[in-house]
Amino acid sequence: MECLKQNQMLPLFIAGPTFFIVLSIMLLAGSPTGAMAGAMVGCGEPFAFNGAPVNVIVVQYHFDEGKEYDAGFSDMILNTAMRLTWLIKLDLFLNAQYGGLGIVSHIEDRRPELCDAEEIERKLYQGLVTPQQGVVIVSGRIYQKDDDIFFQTYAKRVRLSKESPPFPEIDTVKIAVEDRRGNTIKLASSIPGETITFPPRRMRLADLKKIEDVFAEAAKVYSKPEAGKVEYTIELDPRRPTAFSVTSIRADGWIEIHSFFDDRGGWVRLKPKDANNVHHYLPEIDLINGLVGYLRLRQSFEGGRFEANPLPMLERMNRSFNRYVERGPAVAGAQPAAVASSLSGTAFLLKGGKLATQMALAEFEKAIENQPYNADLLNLKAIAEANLGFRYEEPTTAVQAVRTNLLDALSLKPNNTYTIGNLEALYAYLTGQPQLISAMPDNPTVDQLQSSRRRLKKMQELLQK
Amino acid sequence: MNPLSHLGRHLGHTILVPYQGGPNIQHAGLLKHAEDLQRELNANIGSKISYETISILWPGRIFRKTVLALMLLLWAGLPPVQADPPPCAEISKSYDDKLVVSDITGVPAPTSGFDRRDVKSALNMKLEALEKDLEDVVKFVFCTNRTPSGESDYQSKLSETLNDYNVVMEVWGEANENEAVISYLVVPLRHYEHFIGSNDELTGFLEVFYLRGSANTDLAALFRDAPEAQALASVALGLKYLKRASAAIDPNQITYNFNYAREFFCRAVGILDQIRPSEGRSGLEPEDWQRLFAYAKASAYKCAQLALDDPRYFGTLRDLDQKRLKDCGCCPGGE
Repeated sequence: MECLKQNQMLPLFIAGPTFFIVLSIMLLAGSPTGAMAGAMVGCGEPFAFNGAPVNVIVVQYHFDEGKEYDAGFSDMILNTAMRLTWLIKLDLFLNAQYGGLGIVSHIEDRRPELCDAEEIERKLYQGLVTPQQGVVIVSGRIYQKDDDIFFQTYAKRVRLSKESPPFPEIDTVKIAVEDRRGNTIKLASSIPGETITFPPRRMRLADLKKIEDVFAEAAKVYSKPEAGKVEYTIELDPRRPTAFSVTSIRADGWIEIHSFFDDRGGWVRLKPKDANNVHHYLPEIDLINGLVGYLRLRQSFEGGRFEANPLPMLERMNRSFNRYVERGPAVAGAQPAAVASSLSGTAFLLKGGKLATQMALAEFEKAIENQPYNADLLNLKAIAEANLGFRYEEPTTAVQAVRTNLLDALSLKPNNTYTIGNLEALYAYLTGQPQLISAMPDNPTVDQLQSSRRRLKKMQELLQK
Repeated sequence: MNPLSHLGRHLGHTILVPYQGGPNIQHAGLLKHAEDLQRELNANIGSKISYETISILWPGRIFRKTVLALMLLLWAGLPPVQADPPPCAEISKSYDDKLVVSDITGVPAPTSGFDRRDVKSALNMKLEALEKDLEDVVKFVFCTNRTPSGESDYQSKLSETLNDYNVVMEVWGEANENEAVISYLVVPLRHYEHFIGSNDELTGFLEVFYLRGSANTDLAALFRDAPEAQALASVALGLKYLKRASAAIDPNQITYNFNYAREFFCRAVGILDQIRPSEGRSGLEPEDWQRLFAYAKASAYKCAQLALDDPRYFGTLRDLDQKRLKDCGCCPGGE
C-alpha cells in the first residue's frame, strides 16, 4: 500500500476491472447523491458513478495523427487534450452545483484511438449506468499547426429510462393543459439538440501556454486551502486510474478532494482569474454546466430516486445557459444557442405557473431567432402558447397563435409525429368550442376540422407502423 | 434528439417498398431486391429510361410487367449499355444512402501555406458535424485511395452508377501552398438535374476555395463553421426522396417520401438562409449559393405541389395554405 501513500493513484495491479469493482462497492456504500465525485480512467475501460444523479463523461479530444506527421505535434496536442479534461472537471465542480455530480475523465496516451466517444457511450449502457441517471458526454477534435490550434467540442445529453437496465430515452416534454372550463388538451414535443456541435475555435500557441500554466497550478494538491507546501501533484496517467470525492467547495475556487482509495485528501484550486481564462478558451463549459442543470431538473420534476428541490437549480441552469447565449452568435453558434434557450424554455414550461410559462415562451422565441427553420422549436412554442393562453389568459387570442406555430412546424417537417399529434389534439379541443373556432381568421367549419383530424390520424397511424 | 432520428428509426428497420405487398411496410432486404430489379432494368434499358420513369408512365402492375418484359425482349438483341462500375469497392457494399469521403491530395507539409493535413483535419471537423446531424439517415463510406480530379470525372454513366448505389454526395480535398480546396459532388443533382434535366447551371459540382492572400486568408477560414456540407447533403436527400415518392405506387410510401423530400428541401433552405454569403459565413461562391438557395426553395414548393396533385397523397401538406407551402413555414416567429 506504500504506493497509495505516495500519491493518490491506484497501484497498477489493481487498475483495470478490479478498479471498477472496488469503486462500485464504495459508491454503493456511500452514494454521492447530493455530493460530487471525480475520476480519471483510461478510455479502454469506461466508467461512470452509478450513484450520481448526473455523470459528465469527458473524453479526451481526438486529434489527427499519422505516420506522415511530425510526432512532436502529437505529444503537444495529446498533453493539451488530457489537461483540458482536468480543467473542465474543476470548473464544473465549482459551477455545476446541482446537488450531485460525477465527472469522469477518459484519457489515453499510447492508444488515443481508444478515446472514441461513441464506443465509450455504448459501453456505459452495459451495466455502468443505472435507471434515471443523466449523462453528458463531452468529446471533441483538436488540431494544431504552427502557431494555431483549432478545436471543436461536442456535447451529448442522455436521459436514462426508469427500467433496469436503463436505455437512453428520447428527450420529450408532455404537457396536459387544462383550461378554465375544465377541458384538457394534451400536447407533446421532442426537445432538439441531443448532440450539440459547437463552432470550431482557434487558439494560439501562447494561449496553449496559458492553459499549461493554469493546469500546472490547478494540479497542485495542498493540505490547506491556501498556497503553501504542495503535498503532491495530480498526474494524468491513464494506466493509473484515480477516483475522489469532493467534500468541500469554496467560492474562491478551492476544492477539497479525498481519494476513494486511501485516507488522504487535500485542496486543489482553480483561481477565479484562471477560471475566466478557461471560460474564455472554452465557452462551451457554460452550456455543459446548463446541461447538467437541465438533467437534474428533469429528474426533480419527474420524481424518483434523484428528486430534489428544482427552484435553485432552475435559476442556476438558466444563468449558465444565458451566459453562453449572450456571447453572441459568432461565438455561441446558432445550434448550441438554440438548444440552450430551448432547454431553458422546457424547464420553465415544466415548472408551470403563468410567469414561468411566459419565460418559457420568451426562451423558445429566443431559440427560434437562432434557428427559425427548426420545427421542434415551433412545436415547443405552440405548447407554451397553449399553456399560457388556454390556462391563464384568453383562449380566443391564443388559439390562432398555437395553430400558426403548429402549421409552420408541419410545413417544415410534415412527418413529425408530435406536431401531427398536437394539431389533432388542438382540433379535437376546438370541436366543442365554436367561440374559439370563430376566433380564427379563416373561420373553419367543424366539418373541415373533422376532416383534418381524420387525415392527421391517418398520418399518425402510418408513422406508428 | 437528432432532428432526423425519427426517420432513421424507420429507415433502420423497415422501409416502404413498392410492388412488395401493397401498403404494408416491408423489410429492407426487400428494398434491395427491388433496387436490384431496378438496376438490372436500368442496365438493360439504358440510362435515359429508368424503372422509376416506367412506373410513373404505366402505373398498372400487370400491364407494366408485360410492357417491361416486351421491352427486355426488344433490347435483348442489342449490346447492353453498361453503366460505369463504382469507383471504389466500398460504394458497392450496400444500397444504403451514403456519403463518400475520398482522399485528400496535395503537398504533405510545405514550409508555409496549406498542406494535406490541414485540409484533412478541417474536413474531418466539418464531416463529423454532418455525421452527428445525419447519422441515422446516411452512412459514411471512405474511399481512401480514390482521388477524383474534378467535375470532368463525373460523366453521365458514372453519375448514374453512383446514384444507383444511393451515393448522395462525394467529398474530397486538395491542398497546395497557395490554396486549399474542398470539393463536393452532389450526385442526385448531377444525375437528375444536370444530365437528365440538361440543366447546365446545376452541375452538382461545387468547390470551396481557401486562397492565401484573399479574404479567406488563413487557416481559420478553412476551419470556420460553415455548414455547406449539411446544406448540400440536404438538397441531395430531398431530391432522392422526391424521386422515390414519384416512383412509388403505394399511397403510404408516396405520402411518406413526399413528406421527407419536403423536410430535406426545407432543411436546406434553412441552413442556406443562415449562411448567406453577405454574412461571410458561407464557404460557397455567391453564385453557387444563389442557385442552390433558389433550387432548394423551388423544390420544396414543387415537392408540395406534386404531393397535392397526387390523389394518393394523404399527408399533412394538405392542411397548409399556399404561403406556407411556398416559404417553408410562414414568417418565422409567427404571423
